[in-house]
Amino acid sequence: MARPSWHLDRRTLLRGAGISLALPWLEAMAKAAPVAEPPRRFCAFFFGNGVAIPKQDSTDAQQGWSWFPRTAGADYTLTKPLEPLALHRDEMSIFGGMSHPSSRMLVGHNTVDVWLTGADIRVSLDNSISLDQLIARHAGTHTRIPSLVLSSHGGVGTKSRSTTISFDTQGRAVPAESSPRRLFERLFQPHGSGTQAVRKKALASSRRRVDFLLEDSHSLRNNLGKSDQIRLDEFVESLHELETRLTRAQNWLGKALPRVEAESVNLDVSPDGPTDYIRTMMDVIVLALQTDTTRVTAYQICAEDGVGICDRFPTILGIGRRGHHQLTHSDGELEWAHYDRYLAEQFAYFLGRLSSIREGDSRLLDNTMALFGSATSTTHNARNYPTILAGGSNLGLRHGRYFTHETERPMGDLYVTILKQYGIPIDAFAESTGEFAEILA
Amino acid sequence: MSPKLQEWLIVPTLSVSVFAVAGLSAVMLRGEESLSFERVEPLFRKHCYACHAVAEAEGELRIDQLDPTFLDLSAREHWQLVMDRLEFGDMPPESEQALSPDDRELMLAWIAQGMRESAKGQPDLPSFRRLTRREYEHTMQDLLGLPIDFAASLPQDGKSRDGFRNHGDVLRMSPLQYETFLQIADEALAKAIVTDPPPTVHRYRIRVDEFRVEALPKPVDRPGESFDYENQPFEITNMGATPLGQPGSGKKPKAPEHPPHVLPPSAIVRFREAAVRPPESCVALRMHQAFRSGETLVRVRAARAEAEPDSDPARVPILTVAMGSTNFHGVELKTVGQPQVISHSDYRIYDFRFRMENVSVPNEGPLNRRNASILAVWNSALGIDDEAQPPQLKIDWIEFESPYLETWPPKSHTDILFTNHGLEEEDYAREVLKRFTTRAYRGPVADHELDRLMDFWRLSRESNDSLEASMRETLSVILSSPRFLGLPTSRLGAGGNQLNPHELASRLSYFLWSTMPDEQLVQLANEGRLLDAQVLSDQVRRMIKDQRSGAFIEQFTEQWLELDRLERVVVNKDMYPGFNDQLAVAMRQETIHFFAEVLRGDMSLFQFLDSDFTMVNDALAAHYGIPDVMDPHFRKVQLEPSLHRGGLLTQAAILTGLSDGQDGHPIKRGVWLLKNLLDDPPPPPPPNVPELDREQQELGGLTIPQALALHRSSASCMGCHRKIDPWGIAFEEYDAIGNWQRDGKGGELRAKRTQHPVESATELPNGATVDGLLQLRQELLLSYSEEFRRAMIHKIMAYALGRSLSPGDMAAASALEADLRARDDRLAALIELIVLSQPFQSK
Repeated sequence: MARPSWHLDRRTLLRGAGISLALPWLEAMAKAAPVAEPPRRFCAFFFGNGVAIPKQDSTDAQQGWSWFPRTAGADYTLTKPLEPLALHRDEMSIFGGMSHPSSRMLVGHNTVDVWLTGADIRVSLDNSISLDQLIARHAGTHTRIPSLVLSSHGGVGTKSRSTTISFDTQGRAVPAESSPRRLFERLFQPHGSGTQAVRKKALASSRRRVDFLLEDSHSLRNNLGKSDQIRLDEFVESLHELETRLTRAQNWLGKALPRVEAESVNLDVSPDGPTDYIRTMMDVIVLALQTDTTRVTAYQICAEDGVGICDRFPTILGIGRRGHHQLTHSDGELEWAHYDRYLAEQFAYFLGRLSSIREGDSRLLDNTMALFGSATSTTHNARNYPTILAGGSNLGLRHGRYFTHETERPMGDLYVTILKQYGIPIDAFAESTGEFAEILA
Repeated sequence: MSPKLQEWLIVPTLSVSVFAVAGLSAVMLRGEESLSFERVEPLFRKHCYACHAVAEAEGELRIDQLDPTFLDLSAREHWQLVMDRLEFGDMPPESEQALSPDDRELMLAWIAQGMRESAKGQPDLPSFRRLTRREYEHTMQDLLGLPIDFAASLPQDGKSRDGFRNHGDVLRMSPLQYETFLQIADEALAKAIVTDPPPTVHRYRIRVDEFRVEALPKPVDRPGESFDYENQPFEITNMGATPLGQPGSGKKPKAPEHPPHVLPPSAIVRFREAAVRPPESCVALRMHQAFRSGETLVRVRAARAEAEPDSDPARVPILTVAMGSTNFHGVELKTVGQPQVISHSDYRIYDFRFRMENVSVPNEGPLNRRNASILAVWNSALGIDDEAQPPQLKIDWIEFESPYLETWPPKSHTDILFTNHGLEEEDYAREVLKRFTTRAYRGPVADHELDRLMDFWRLSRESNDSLEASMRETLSVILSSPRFLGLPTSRLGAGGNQLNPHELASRLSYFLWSTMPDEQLVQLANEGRLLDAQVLSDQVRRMIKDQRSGAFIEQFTEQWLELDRLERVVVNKDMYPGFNDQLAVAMRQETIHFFAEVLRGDMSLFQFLDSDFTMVNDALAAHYGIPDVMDPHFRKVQLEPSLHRGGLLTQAAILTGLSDGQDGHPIKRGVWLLKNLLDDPPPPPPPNVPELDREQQELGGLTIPQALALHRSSASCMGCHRKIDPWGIAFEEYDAIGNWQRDGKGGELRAKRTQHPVESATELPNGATVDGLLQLRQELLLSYSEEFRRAMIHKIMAYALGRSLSPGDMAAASALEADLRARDDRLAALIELIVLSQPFQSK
């Protein structure tokens, strides 16, 4: 049998910045259904409080510290805060003038809850499924873990200032993991047998139900007229898909975990050292993608509105004497812009890691879409979300441009196009009015 | 189909109705002779092919390539389009050679014939459909006896081409949705059937004056030990009168001028944070614990503060209770129970019962003041600016009990797992499943189906410790079966196309109640008596009187009249400072209450066109200038001519929904009237047509009728707009939020916006000239009553059947017209006639 090109060679020793791991046996990959192309991954990175945009009347030097480039199109000049991404200029797109319509009038901090969901939270904070979880529903069945939800603060936090960016099918906040060590253990070290047994029982029960319902539908089908049968078929197809998902989940139960040495990652980090901490979180994400333990991740690097330990990052880094939130209220925007640059450096580190890893003929970056951004532009303004989408050339993206929009365009447009690249049949997301076909090759 | 063509076809309902009404008559004119394609082909060639048989065909429509046998759906849709345009008369365009009336009729007759023939070939109309979100929720509530908003996390259902959400073709099913149904079933059964001992109960009385929390002793006759308030980490604190400053303002709110237990009128306000702010004057109790589920009881001891001698006696305080959760800066609050009018000055006790599942609850995770449950009590009487003596509400104490347990296990549990009088477990299980399934599937269950369920239960019993757990698992498959989630009609058995009694009971119940049949309907179905016309008529009357028909009233009214437009209009608050959320809600309610009054009051459906009454509450009465309505309950009021109201056309929900938020929108209003009241929708606008923009340069200085006339002068617009605009212009006397704007309050507001006089004189397509809505209402009654009656029959029938009307349905609908006239056009009689009609009783 021909070996799918993206399969990792078991003897390959993968090297990355500061880590190495031996892959003695990746059963998951070897035994996965043979696919012709590498898996498609999605990673989202969020930071709170927006970015520095100097005032119209400021000097050229100050303007150079604006996050957004000055001119649109392919010939834009990277601004100071985005310079760290210069190496990846051709494999990323920058977006201006994007936002979720119903929250445009809200104080920007609230939009952390809806960055990936687009829900209308003006009166009630009932949320809806987030982009990453929607992708995970489809991509997640192929992996041991459907998706990773991370944040520097952890948990779910307070509504309207959530410390997670992920929301489940019923719109409930998905708790985020903040400890790289716990995360590593969850990914690569065997569960206690208790958990395993509970999971096994739950899956068996779900499986029994879906099997019964399929049988039930077939028996009902025989009683129905032809045109009714066509309508019932949508029930049957849905049940078949649930059955497939359960089969895959059950198959993972008995499988050995990929062996990754704990020493390969520096797990002795804490948010008190932001750079090591953020990069370790990113390293674990890369490991999870690389070993195909998951294909979808969402990481809130810093929360909104002074919430959580991440508010102290700029102070610890010596970028300013005030917290992240205070920084965004300051008159001298330079400190704020320096922190924007710092965050871009971390994203560049992530992109660098992805591009250093080969998957057959391509790089991990080519098979991964990485979304990086915030849900406010400047202070409290819930419009013009700073947004970068990188990677994913094998997913049909064409990069290298800065897209601007004179009147705000629904963020949902971009999400619909992203979703379609994962083969998810969807025509609308939140308040989308169309697609963002311009980023397609 | 090309996207461009699709745009033209977005409203194919129009096609069906035009076809049935105009098309059939055209055929009849020609007798029943059969027309061959050869006979009409030269006409299409002569009049259409010049533009519609070339590579770059107009509208991407190639008439020469359309299948003249009408066999596939796409061909039928395209022919329908051709028919619409021919019928409407804007094709061929005036620039081309004129089409003689005889030739036009021949072409129409041929298309109508083809449509009819092709419809004959498909007698198998689908009737199976999924329950709507609302139907699912009501059915789950009735079946389990749990008043929980089960459908809150389900996505909104789509709208059919007719605008209805209960049409089978839009009630889709996806894996995501199925998974959600499975989750909801699990969570519901975990509440309905219990295995644990009763939970601890929180019972407190909070004295408001000096703010003191007293833990209450456990009532002897009720289960559940009391939570140990004194020694456990939990407290209730007072959020204070105006606890939340506007973020960024840095200003502390003013100290309240009243003692904490005396509350002047106040309202929930929206602000720039997500969620809302609690009313400025309220008692807001923050519970430093998350209450997430269970029946809850709030009792309030309240009185009206002694009124000052010179205050208005009609002004009374309104006691309102809401529950929810706090977030970073705001709160999410949902009113629970009914607001109460407090007209007495001695203290009395009021009960408010609700399920915690139906209000917003704090996030999982650590609780703090920004992530806590909150209970708010306030005086929701309408605020009046600069009122000297506003009505004040006094609160003595508030009691809170959650969960409120009457029995343990709860009734939902014992209703399903009834007392077992000595049956073996297996026999008992079979009996439980039989009873539950018969209700859930809304009809008798075959033995072999029950056998399969028993097989499932046995497997489940093996892997579960308790009978209860195995029952939960088994009932969850019943609640996820397409037999429960959908409305199947069996093709087996005798009776041919006729619904069997249980299927008929279901169709009736979902039509009028949006839920499963009740015991009486089931009983009549069991006895086979439901098929009797007299019995059926009696049931319809009973069901309309029953409060459950509110489901039909609300959904039909909302979907027929497109009340959801109201939510989408962004009203300019600078131009209309009086507009707020509360008023918008009242507007919507008026129209729904009005429909209910016409239906339950056994009135004629022509009341919709004009009436001498309407339904208002305090907020809406203030808006309309109707005096002496001082509480939030809707009541019937007589309309004096000076109010300039009557029927649906002058209702604020309609007028506001059909505005652009700054002014009334004559085109929207005209289209709405044609579509919903006369069932004669104009074709959708061609793509890329700019909106009529009042601020457009070239329109500067023009009045609305002048601007519309300019708009009509363009050839591509004229065809449709000469049909639409005259109707819309008659609405011009009413502004963007439905104020009469010739004089009074509306006149003053208008004067600030524009100096143009109101111009509402117009000539209707039938040649009648009317000025304003009063004359339009009279003209509708005089000259368009046939069309309106027919429209009402079609709309209600399409809702009742859960599908767009087929040619066969249309014929049955036409037959009802004379019967309805004979019964004085009473709305309730129409419902009865539809239920007795053949399409309603057929699969």
